[in-house]
Amino acid sequence: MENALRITKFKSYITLGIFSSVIIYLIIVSPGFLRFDNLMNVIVSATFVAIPAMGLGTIMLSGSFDLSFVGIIGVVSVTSIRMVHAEIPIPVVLITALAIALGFELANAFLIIKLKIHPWLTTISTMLAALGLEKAISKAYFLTTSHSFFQTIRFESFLGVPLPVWILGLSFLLMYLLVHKTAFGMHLYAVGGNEVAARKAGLKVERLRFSSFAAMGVCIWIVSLVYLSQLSGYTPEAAYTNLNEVILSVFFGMSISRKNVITIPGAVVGALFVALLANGLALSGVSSYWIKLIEGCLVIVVVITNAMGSGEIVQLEK
Amino acid sequence: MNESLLNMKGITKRFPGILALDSVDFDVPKGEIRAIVGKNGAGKSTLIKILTGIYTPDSGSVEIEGKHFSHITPDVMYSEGIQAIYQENDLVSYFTVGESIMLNNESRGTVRAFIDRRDMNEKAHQLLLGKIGIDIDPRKLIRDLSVSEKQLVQIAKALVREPKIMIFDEPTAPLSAKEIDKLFEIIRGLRSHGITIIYISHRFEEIFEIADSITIMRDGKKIVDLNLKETNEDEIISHMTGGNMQVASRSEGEKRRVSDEITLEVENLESERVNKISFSLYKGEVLGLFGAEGAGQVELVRAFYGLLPKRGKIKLNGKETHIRKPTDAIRKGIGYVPRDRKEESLVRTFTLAENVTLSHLNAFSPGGFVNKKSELEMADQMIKDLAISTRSAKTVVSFLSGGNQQKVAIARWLAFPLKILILDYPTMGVDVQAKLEIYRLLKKISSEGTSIIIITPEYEEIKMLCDRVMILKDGQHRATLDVKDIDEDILLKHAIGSSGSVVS
Repeated sequence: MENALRITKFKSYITLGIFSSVIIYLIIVSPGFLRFDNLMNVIVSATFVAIPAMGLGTIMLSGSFDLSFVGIIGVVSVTSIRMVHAEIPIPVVLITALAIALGFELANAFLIIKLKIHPWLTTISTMLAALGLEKAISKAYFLTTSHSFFQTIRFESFLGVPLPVWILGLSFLLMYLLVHKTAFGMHLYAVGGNEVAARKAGLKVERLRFSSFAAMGVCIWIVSLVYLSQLSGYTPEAAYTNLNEVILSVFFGMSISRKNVITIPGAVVGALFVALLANGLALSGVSSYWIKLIEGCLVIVVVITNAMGSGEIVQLEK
Repeated sequence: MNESLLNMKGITKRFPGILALDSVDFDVPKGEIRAIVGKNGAGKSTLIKILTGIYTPDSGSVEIEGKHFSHITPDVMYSEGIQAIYQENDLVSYFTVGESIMLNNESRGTVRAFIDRRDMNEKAHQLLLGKIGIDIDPRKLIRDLSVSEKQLVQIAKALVREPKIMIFDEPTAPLSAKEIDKLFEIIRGLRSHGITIIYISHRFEEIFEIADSITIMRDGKKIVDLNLKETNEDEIISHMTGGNMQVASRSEGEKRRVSDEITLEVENLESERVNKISFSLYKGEVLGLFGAEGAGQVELVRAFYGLLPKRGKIKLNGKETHIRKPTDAIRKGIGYVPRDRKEESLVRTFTLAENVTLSHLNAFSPGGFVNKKSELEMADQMIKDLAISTRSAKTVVSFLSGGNQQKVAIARWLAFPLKILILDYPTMGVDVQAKLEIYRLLKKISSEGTSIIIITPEYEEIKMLCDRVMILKDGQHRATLDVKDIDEDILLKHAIGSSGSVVS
């Protein structure tokens, strides 16, 4: 047990240590890595991962799971772009997009919470359905737009910082306050940590769990707009390629947290690490074919340190 | 003092196949400590679950301070000030002490939407210090606390809501003597603040020390309320058992004589909850293992079987042996049927035949491949011998009834010669017919020379099946008695009574 405690205490340093040494190595070998505009590029590309990771983290810390968000982002994006092409005013497009995102996530929540279907089964199915719907609407075509709304987000800066970085910063601030500073956030943790205890403390468990899915719906809505802006339109299954990175970010954040729990800052730091890694590896001339392999090996490191921290390995030996 | 705070009338709760509560009336005055006792399945926990809103009664009414409640949910009962402190702790392990105590009662900061953790910690600390008299840092994580500290945090958490009724469910089980004294001091303090206490326990010493009155339940009915100053252990026990039940013991019925050849001797076995227990087991004997829930009987057999770390000496047929893991035990001809057949005993997705051969699969696998034909032959034999009702040996085991699943779990051990069979409450949740068949089967196995150790909380089962019964209390060996000499009162007196010495 002594050993286990020592590992728990230091495991956050282990993960951070491994990742920082990788980053330091990249700083040394790749020129230009630390330049302001490169770092801004990194943060912009981290936005695609960080925003859904905050939503997923919220769902996971309240005891559930979601895979379907990648498909929902696709549906929201392609529908929005079709509406923009049909010259529907932007406010209407935005409201419809939000409604679609919330609708899908509340459907997930209904299946998982009310019908008690396993979250993996539920959201794999809704992911497939959403990806199918995305493809049916887009016919797998790239759909571009040069609408000023999206152009502004992509190219404008405020105080020298690109707008997508502001979007990430504001979303982070909102989610951070919501999850870590309000009673609502604390109740979400209680539901995920001990549902029976939460129920007995008089918390409205179902409503709380529904809300965590709604939070994900809002994250999906925001990130869809970033996708549409940054890619100047709709790219088929763009979000789907980031699925693993989102999940990785959440777990990464968990493994660096002191209490070994999922946190919003943790998820964002995780996303930034993944983005820095991909960027640094590319800059230092590593072929893009190898980047996934390296990322995958790092996931394994994260999972192992996590298992040590939660005492699972130790319990087996007892 | 005599105004009734809680008044439950005609509470009935039915579960499939069981009448858990049969028109129970239960009322407690304000500021009283009321103990509830009853045997396993008497209805204590169902009553508490109705009171805390976890179950909804089929009929009956609940009144608190004269206010009638028809729709009972955990929310309603919680806000009415009914708080339960359970044995298994109701805390989130990665919350701090302050967060746990103030959960759903958070302090608000200057911006009303946000919580003020510093204020929460201060309030929690004051509560712990002032009302409970213990100094715990509110920033500590729950998972870093001792069992007793966790319990005190739970009490503090309950006190935040200024409860009218607090329920303690076997609160002293994990505590040391000193911690128990402290807890009783706290409970008395609560009473002096006008809080009504419902105290569930099977430890008579404690009940007489802490409670004012006692409610005795049996078979889903409330038998009587007694003032503890005007009663004694014997009276309570006879209410719990309902007088002497006429059950013929096995030795009387069969005129049987167990051989005096000793199969197993255990000396000073120590493990988690097991305190230096020694016993012996004769060839072909059925030894019952009885005690209140958590008295150490399950840990005793698990330690013996190599599932828990242990110290002590084990002699099998006079020869000292070491059992470090279940495979050691199996190799020496010892089988174990755990209580939870779904989780620990059977592989639900396997067929009947596959479950029967699981522990001895090597014997059915010459050359490394399982010989399905001989596996099926063995299973068919077992189906016939044990009268398992199934369509075939290839039926997936989860489609069988509970009683038949239990037979399959037993059959696993009968494929090869067996010296000792250990069973943990094998008739739990099976119907009467299957129960009798399991008895018949166990009698047959034992008369063929296999010794049996059976954990059971049922007096009738001990009387009908066992030759001797070993009684444990708090991990200690209280008595081993010849079953033909006992009645239920004697059994309970040893298992939960305060008198009586420890067998060493």
